[in-house]
Amino acid sequence: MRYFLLLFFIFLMLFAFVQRGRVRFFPGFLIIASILAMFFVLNPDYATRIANQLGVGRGSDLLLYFFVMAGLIVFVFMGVAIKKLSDNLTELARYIAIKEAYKNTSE
Amino acid sequence: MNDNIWLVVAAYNEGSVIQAVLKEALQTFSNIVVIDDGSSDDTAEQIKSTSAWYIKHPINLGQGAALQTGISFALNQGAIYISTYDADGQHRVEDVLKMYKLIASQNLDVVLGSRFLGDAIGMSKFKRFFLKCAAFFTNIVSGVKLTDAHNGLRMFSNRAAKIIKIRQNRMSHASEIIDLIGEHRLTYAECPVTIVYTEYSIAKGQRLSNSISILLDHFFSKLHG
Repeated sequence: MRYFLLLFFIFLMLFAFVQRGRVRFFPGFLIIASILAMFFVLNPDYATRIANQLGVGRGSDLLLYFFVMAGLIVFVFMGVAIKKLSDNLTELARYIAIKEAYKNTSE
Repeated sequence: MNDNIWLVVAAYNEGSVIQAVLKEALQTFSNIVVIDDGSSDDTAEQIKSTSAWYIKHPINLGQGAALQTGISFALNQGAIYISTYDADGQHRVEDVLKMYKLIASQNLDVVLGSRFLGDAIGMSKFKRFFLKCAAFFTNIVSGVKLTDAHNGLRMFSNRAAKIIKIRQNRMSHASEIIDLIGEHRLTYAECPVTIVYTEYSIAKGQRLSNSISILLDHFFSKLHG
């Protein structure tokens, strides 16, 4: 299981590296998150030590809270990105619609 | 014949009523633009049989988007005043003329119709209560004091229409317009109007449960800026 997880995070880092020119911030965030994740996979005791320092019981609980927070942040950013896409689509549709405006002059 | 005023009508599957609504309005206003928001019935044919301008969105975008398309078109045509007007027969032509008298005589930026200053024929008590709560909430959030914050009958001056850019495509555009009036400190007044609820318009109207998605739309648009 440990090797499977390591392979997964290596693949994720490579994917993020390839995407770095297309998307801002997110590839960098993925690479850092993957490095941290691989560190904790190889050193599970460190997660528990950090968790105890922060007042959280277990390392796995800390990681769970971290991923819930990260998930919510991604949710908000995705909402904003979708809104921006929607705005662009609307402008395009509006341009086409107005260009093809019609009036019945025989009425 | 009131050439200063452009009526902007957003229509979605209103084939059964739109021709009658337009023919009545065209007796008073020669400048009417109808935005067909991707209707799948015979709305297009009904509109094209009149002398109103016909604009069709290639996909359904929502009433807010349709109104902005109409406003942009009317501004391109040199409109002095622009009135948003419902396609389902709830609004009255005489109320548009009342709003025009008010906006022109007092040199206002915006006049908003109020069914609570005027009349709401056939409105349920629950909807009345809900709309009053919505107006109260909007008053606090936007700073714009209104008795009726979700009335589709509005009139903008040319200047206000250029400033107000509706970006909320769906039903939260109503709140967005109020926010923009407050944000840009536009001068405004309310005008008593009569809203006529019919079985048809009630069936087509938005559900009160849409208020959740309206709030979410508002949240994401504030983040987007």
